[in-house]
Parts: sequence; structure tokens; C-alpha cells
Amino acid sequence: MPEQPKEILQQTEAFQQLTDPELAPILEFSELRSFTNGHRLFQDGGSAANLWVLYEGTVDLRFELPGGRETSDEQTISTLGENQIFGWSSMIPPYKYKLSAYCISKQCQVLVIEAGKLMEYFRAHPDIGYRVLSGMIRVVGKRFRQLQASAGQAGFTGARVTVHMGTCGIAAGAREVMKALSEEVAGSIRQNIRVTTGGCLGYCRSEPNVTVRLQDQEPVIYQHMDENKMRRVFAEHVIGGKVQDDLLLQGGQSC
Amino acid sequence: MLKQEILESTAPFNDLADERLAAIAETAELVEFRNGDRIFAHGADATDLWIVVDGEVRLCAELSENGTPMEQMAFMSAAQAFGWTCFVPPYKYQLSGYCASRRCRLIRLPKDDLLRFCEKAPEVGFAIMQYTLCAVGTQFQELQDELAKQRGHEIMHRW
Repeated sequence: MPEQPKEILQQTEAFQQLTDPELAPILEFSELRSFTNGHRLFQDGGSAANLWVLYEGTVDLRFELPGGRETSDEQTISTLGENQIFGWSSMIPPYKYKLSAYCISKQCQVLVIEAGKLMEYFRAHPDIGYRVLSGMIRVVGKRFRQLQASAGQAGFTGARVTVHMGTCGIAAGAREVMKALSEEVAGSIRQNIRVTTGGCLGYCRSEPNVTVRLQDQEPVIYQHMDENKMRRVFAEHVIGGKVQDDLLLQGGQSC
Repeated sequence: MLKQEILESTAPFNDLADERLAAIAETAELVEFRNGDRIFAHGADATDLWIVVDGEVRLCAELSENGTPMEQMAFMSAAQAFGWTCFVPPYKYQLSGYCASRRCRLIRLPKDDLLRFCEKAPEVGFAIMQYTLCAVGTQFQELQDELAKQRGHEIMHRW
């Protein structure tokens, strides 16, 4: 897990192309912040002064209801995982947040970037601005398509997806699987998709393993997962309800 | 000269220096359509950015996924640019474009030429990407707003 702002930006898609000297000035107007479960990072309608990078934990983007009622995941439009940028409204007139952001994991660690200073930096160095904004457009475009696609799906029930991240799972690529899952969840408007991490199931040779449990159904374990398989399982099983038989755990070879 | 004048009055090109505008105008093509002509189709490869010189262009979705005809999404008129999805993966037009007046004249800017120019002149690239981010980001926000509105009505209806 990165602990330094520079490492966080290096792992974030839009900033990945920048060199250390190009990243250094951005770090001067960025700061690390930590939030606990239920804490609101920003509120819809508020002045959007910052761009946010989530590097640990999970954040829900939710709309508020009249009368200041407490929010729940019924109001969630997107769920964001690690290495994801949010707070795009800080880059787009009229610079007001359109949704509220809530920490929904035990703790959320974020890098907060002053958007006004970031744009000043880009204007002074348009070559850097061009590269970063090109990357941001790719990310926004991807999330837009995912949101459009998930808005058109019907018949969804709640789901819990567990990526098994024991030492053996991580060595086999479970982090990459988790990253892909987080991206898919972030682009989905479906409620009640809960992403959790779990320990080793005891089938180390079949790692990375992922368990999917849909509401009122028996859990299903997948084996030898990678980013592409995770995206397929998310679209076809978690959203579409169809178990992917060819990816199921076969027999279970123990450690 | 017409192409450069139109570019000059169209965001995000309006702040560019004359020599930059002239260079972009060199890659541009002036094309004409008649009423009802399809300029590009929903789902086709988005290879060009378009600017209206005169006349009107109607942007609409052909069919929704369940086969229901969709309402038109927008009208574009003089000095308005459209086709920003040419810079956004998967580089497909999200809507179809039709000539909606007796005739319309458009400037067609090939995306690849523009991107090559952006590499050479990053201040132009930055301006174009900033505008594209606003265009795509605003559409994203509108979709979020619409979903929030629908979901909010459902929740309040249950109260």
C-alpha cells in the first residue's frame, strides 16, 4: 500500500505517465487525509475545490434526500475502490459537487489535490496538462460507459464479492483482480454490491480465488482469476446473474 | 479563410493564435449535406470532430436497446462543435447526426490530424482536452443527475 503522495499518483491512471520531476510540483498542493466509516468527504452542491484520489478503503458517491435525512446505500450511484479519482466536478464548470462522498469502509485514505492550483500548473505546462487530461478523459469515458451499461440492466439482486487475499492469493495476482473488481464496481450504479477481502481458502494452487454470493443463492467460488476474468464474472454473474461454469473451482487442490 | 474564421469563433479554438488556427484549418475539410442526410451513425467509428458553419444538425439515438425509438438529444447550429467522443475510448459516436435544415455546411476535422497537431503544439492539445473533459464530464453528471432523480422519486414514493 503506498504511503507517499508521489507513489499514490504514480499508481493513478491519469498521472501514471508523469515523471518524478513533473509530479513534484503537484505534491506541493496535495495532502493526505484519513476518514472513518460514515464520514462525509464532501457534500453535493458544495464548492468543488478539490480532486480526490482514493488509495485505501471504499467510498460511495450518493445523492442526498430533502430534509437532511441520513443516507444509505439506497442512494448510492457509484462505489469507488483503490486508485480511483473522484470529484471531477472540480475540473468542470460550475465547479460544484453533484453528489456527496461517504467513507463506507472502516477507514478511507485519500490524497486531496487542490484543483485550481492543478489547472494553473497545467496552464503553465500545457504538455503535462495535455497528457494528464487525456488520461482523465479515458477514465471518465470508461466510467460513463459503465454507468450507462449498468443503468440499462434489470433484475439485479444484492451481491457480496470476496477476493481471497492471503499471501498465496496475492502472489498469484489477487491485487490485480481486486483492482479490476473495484473499477467495475465504481462504474456500476447497482446498490448492495459489497466487495470484501478474505483469507486463503486452502486451495492455493487455484489462486487467485473469488467468491460471489448473490442474494438468496449459494456462494460460488471461481479459480485462477485474472483482471479479464474478474470483469467477465462481474458483468455476467454479479450483474447478469449467470454463473460462469468454465471458471468455477474444480476439485480444489489444497496447499 | 472561411474555415479559419469559423474555427476562430468556435470553442475551444477561439483562444488560439492565428498561426495555430491556420495550421488546423489546413487539415479541415468543408462538407455539405442536405436535409435528412446522415452525417454519421450511432456506434460508428468516431474519426472526426465536426463544427457547424451554417444550417442545423440534429443529434439523436437511432434506437434504444429495447427497440424503442429515442427522442432527439440536441440541435447544433453555427459555430458549435460536436463529435467529442472521437477523443474518448472506445472512439465510437454515441449518437447519430443528421442534417436538420434545408442544407448544412460543416467543417470536418480528422481526429488523427488533430491529435498529431496536439502532440506538436501541446497548448492546443491542452485546450482541446480541457474542452473534451468538460463535454464528457457534463454528460456524465447529467446521467448521474437523472439516475439520482429516478432513484430519489422511488424512495420518496415509498414514504
